[in-house]
Amino acid sequence: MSYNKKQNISPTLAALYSAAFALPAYNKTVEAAGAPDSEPSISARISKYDEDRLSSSNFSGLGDQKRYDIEVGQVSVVYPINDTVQLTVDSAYEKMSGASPWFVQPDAEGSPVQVMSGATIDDERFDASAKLDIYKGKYTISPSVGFSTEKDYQAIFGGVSVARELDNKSTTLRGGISASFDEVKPTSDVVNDPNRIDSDDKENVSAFVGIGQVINKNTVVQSTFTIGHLSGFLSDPYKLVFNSAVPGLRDNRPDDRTQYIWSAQLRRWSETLSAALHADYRFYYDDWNIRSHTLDVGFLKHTDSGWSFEYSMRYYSQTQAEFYEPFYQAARSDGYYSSDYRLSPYGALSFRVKLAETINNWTVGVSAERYISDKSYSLQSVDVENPGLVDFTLFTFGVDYSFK
Amino acid sequence: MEIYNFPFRAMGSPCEFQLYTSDKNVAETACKKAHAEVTRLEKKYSRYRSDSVTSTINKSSGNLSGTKVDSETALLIDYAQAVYKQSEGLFDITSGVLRRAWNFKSNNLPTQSQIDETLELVGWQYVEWQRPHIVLKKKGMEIDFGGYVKEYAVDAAANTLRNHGINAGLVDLGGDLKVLGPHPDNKPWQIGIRHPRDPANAIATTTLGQGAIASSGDYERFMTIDGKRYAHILNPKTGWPIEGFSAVSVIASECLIAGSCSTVAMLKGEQQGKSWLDSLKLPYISVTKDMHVDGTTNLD
Repeated sequence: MSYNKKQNISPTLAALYSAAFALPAYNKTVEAAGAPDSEPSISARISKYDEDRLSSSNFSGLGDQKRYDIEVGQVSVVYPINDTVQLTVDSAYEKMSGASPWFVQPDAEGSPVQVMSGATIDDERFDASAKLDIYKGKYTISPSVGFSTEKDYQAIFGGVSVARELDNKSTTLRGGISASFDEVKPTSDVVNDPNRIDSDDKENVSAFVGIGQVINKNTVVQSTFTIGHLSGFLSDPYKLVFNSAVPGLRDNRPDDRTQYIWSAQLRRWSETLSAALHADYRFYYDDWNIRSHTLDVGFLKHTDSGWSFEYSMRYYSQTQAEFYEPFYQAARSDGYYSSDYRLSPYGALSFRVKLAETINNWTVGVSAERYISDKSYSLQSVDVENPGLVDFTLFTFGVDYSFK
Repeated sequence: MEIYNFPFRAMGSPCEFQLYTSDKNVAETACKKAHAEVTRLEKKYSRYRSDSVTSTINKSSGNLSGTKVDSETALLIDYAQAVYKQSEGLFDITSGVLRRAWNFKSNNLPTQSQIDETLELVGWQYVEWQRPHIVLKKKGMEIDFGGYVKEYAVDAAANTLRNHGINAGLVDLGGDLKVLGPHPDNKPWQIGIRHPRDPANAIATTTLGQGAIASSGDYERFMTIDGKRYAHILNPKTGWPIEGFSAVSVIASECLIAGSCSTVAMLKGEQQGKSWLDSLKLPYISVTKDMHVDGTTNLD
C-alpha cells in the first residue's frame, strides 16, 4: 500500500510524524529524550572476570602463571526526585587476585617471554558515583561526581554534560566536559622493588560533542567526537623493562598524552525480524601514536516466549605506542620504555550473549563474554607478539527491580 | 497458530485485541499488559476523573504560574500543537468547553450569545506552553486529550503487544484500529467502514495488511432540529457544528496520525478537506452527507 512505500511525504504529514514519534509508544530503539523514568528502579549485578592462565610457551618460568580473577558486585539506583530531576547512583565493589605481567625478556632463542609477578596480588576496589539529570525544556543538564579507591590508587572525578533537543525533536546535540584526579601509591607487597616511586599523581580532562539524529521511527544514528588530555605520572609503577644495554630500567612513559576519539553508532529496529540491530564504530588516535579501530555489531530480540536474547561481537585492532618494544637492546634517546601488552600491536575479538526475562516488576538476566587477543587479528601485520596478551571470560548475573 | 480474542470495554467503547499465537499464555500476558496500557492512558487523561492529568491542568486555569506536566503529557501537548499549526487552528484541544453551550441530548440549539460566551474560552493562543509548564491563561479554560488519546492508546497497545513478540493481529479500540500484521496465510484483514446513518453496519469494506485506520464521523453524538443534523464535531473558530463530510476514515502507519488527519478533514469540510487529504497522499475513505462513498483505497 502506498503509505509504506517511500514517497515524497507531504510537509504537513512530516510535521505530524515528527511530533508523534517523540512519544514513548513509538520508541523501540531509543529511550525518549528528555523523559525521566517515572518510577524508581534498582539493579544489582554480580560478575566473574577470569583471565586465562598465561600459556607455557609465553611464560619465562619466573613468577606465577595464574593471572587476574576479579569478582565484581554492582548496585545501581535510579530515583526520580520530581518531574524534572532524576538521580542515578552507581556503586561497585571488586575483589581481585592473581599475578600480573612484570616484564618481558628474551628466551634462549631470542623470543620474548613473560616474567610474571611472583606473589599473588590481592586487592579490593570500591567506587561510587552520582549523577543528576535535570530536564529543563529542550535541555537536559547532567552533572556527575564520583570516586574510586583501592589500596594503591585513589581517584576523584566529576563532569557535566548538556543535551539539547532541536525544534524538530529528531535531532539531539550533546556536549560535555569531565575531569579526574588520580593518586598512585604503589604497595610493595607485589615484588620487592626498592626503586619504585612512593606516590605520584595524574590528571585527566576531556571534552566531547555529539549529535544524535532520528532518521525514522526505526533508525537512529549518533556521532561523537571526544578529545582528552592526560598529564602526570602515566607509567605503570609495577612494570619493569628488559634492556640488554641498560639494566634495571622501569616502565617510563611520557608525562602527557592527548587522545582523540571519533565514534559513530547506528541503531535500527527491523520490523521483519522484530529485533533491534546495532553497529558501533570507534576510531581512536593518541600522540603516543596508538591508532585503534573498534567495530561492535549486535542483535537484540524479544522472543515469543517472553525472553529477550542479545548477541553481539566486537572486533578491535590497535597499533603500538611509538616507544613500545617487547624488550630493548639499546638505550632510547627520549628515555621512554614500556613493554606493556596494552601498548603493543594486536587485535582482539569478543563474543557476547545475554538472556533476560521480565516478570512483572523484575528482570533477571545472565550474560557471558569471551575475549581473545592475538597478533594475527591485527589489521597491520605484527612481527613479534607481546607474550602478555590477555584472553578472558566474563560471566554476569543481574537482577533489576522497577517500583511500578 | 490459533487466533486469540481479548474483548474489553475502554474509553467508552467496545474494544478488542485479536492475535495469532502459538502459545496461549504468551498471548494472555501480552493482552493483559496491553490492556493495562490502555487503562493507564484512559485514567491518566480522562476528563471525568478528578485525579487525572487533564483535570489537574484544567483546575489550574486562570493561574498564571500554570502547572507542571510529565514528559509523556508534554509530548502529547507538543503533538496537539503540531496538529493545531498544520490544521491552521482547526484542531484545537481547548475547544472542549463548547460542550457547555451544546447539549446534544436537549434537542435545543444554543443561543448565539451562549456560544459566544464559551468561545471566549477557546483558543490555543490563550495557552502558554513552555515545557514542562502549561498555563491556561483564562479562568474556566479547559484542554481535552479526548480528541486523540484513543488513537494514541491504539498505537501504545500495539507497541506493547509487539514487544511481547506478537506479529499477527489487530488492536481495535472502538473502531480505531491498528494491524500488527496480516493473517498467518498472509491475507490482509477485512475492515468495515461504519455506515454513518446505520453505525452497526458497514457502508464499505477495505483490506489492511499492516498500518492503522481511524475514523471520524457525525454519527457519534448529534441532534436533528427542523430536519438539520447538528453533530458533535464543533468548529473552534465559529463554535458551530461542522458541515460537509458525514464521515472520513484515514489509513496511516500509525493510528494517531490517521485519527488526527480524519478529524482535521472533517473540520475542513468537503472541498477543503478533500484537497487537504489529497495533499497528504494518505489513503482515505470519505462519506458525503448524501452517503456517497469516495476514496483512494481499495473498496469493496
